[in-house]
Amino acid sequence: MKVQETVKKETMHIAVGTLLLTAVMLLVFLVLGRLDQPVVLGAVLGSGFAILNFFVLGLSVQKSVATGNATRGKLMMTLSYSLRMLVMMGVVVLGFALPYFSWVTVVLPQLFPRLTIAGMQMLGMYKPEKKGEDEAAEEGERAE
Amino acid sequence: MLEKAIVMAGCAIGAGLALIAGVGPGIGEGYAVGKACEAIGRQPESKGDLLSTMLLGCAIAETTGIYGFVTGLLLIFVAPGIFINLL
Repeated sequence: MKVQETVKKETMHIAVGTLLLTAVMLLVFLVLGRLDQPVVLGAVLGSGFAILNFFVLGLSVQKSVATGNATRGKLMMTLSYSLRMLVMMGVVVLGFALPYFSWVTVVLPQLFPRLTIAGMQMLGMYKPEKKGEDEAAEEGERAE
Repeated sequence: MLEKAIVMAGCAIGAGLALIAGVGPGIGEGYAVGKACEAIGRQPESKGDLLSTMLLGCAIAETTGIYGFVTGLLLIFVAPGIFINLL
């Protein structure tokens, strides 16, 4: 399966944002004097998995949309979500259970893609369409 | 002893309730993708824009599930120790 350009582009945006936020998180740990090996290893595991999770989400969306069948796409997406959550549970439980990782730095990067998207919205890179505009456009088309 | 058992039971019940939040995003994402398939069927030229918007939309929707999931794991792994120390 060929990865579409849109998926690559969005994954790149999210990866850059996640890595930047991870760097900021490590900087905060450094300032607090808590930067040690488990913190760094946890940050690598957490941010790596967050980026991988987004990429797999992109692949799932691409594959589901390519089916062209609404019911099949819906099922594929729900299955993908369940599997990704299961793997995420495994990774985060590893972060909690093993002493080689700091659980804080494993858990926090899972929320960084959302913060990156919020940042993209603020910078104007991604603007969700307003419902009012859509409705006005539809009404205009009907009138014509 | 009884206090510890109550704390553990409370944390376990709380974690179970928090993980219910993980169900919603799965259903929502599936619904969104289903509608996107229908939209692409009607307007195939909008596929690129639709994919990009839906990808970020799905990521946003998924965060809600992650919040619940993280809360549940914190209640299982971290909270019992803190509450038991308070006793």
